[in-house]
Amino acid sequence: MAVSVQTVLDERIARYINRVKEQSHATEAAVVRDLVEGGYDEVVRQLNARYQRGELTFRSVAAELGLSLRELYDLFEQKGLPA
Amino acid sequence: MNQWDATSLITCAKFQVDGRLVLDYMLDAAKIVITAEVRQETVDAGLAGGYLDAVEIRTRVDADYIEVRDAPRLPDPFEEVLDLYGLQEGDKAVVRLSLQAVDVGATVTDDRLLFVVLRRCGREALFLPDFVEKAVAEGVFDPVTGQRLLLAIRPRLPSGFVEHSLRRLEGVI
Repeated sequence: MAVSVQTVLDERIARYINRVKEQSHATEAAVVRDLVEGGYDEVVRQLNARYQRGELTFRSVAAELGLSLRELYDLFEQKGLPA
Repeated sequence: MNQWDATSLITCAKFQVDGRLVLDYMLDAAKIVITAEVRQETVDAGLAGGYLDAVEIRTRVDADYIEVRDAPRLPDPFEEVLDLYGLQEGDKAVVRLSLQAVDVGATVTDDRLLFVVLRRCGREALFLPDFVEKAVAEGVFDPVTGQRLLLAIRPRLPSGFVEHSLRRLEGVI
């Protein structure tokens, strides 16, 4: 399920979005979405790494991401990350 | 009888060896007990999400191959320590059951922090590959079957854990 979010961006990020938009002929929304998804992916990978190091339990990672345990298991599987 | 944590249970309910669910090989070794919280996480939430493994686990709960138990709170000082570790309610329930159920041997979990907490509580904890090795050592299944089970679950486990057990079953370390 997708949701629409309105936000205000730092000018440097806005300039970067404009440059990528012009280079790739993508829409502004698509560039912003890629950026946000990349950031989210990085957060998930960092939390998985902390889980693997025994700093957090699996359930704590799920809570951090606002997911149920089963949803997190699925997310890690989709990203090829171990549970 | 061994207690199982949620992620290990889901992993064993996802993969098959020779057309038979890995979970059923594990049930050959010993009856499984889970907390009511693990049941909610694996069966109730899993069914809501449309996951096939949830159906498999529910079938075995309904058939009483997997027993579900409540885990009452521990004395306050113990609960405070569990909070300091940053454990969530489902984690705490696993520790509580491990400490309170006298007929439960080891707890099978792939959660490193939970493993450490259980061990520091003086309870036996096993990573899933260790449980497979133990079952082979007890003659529940032969080493080749043990290796095939390990290879089946390898995609969901961190690097090193399965390979370590495989080398031991091969007798090279």
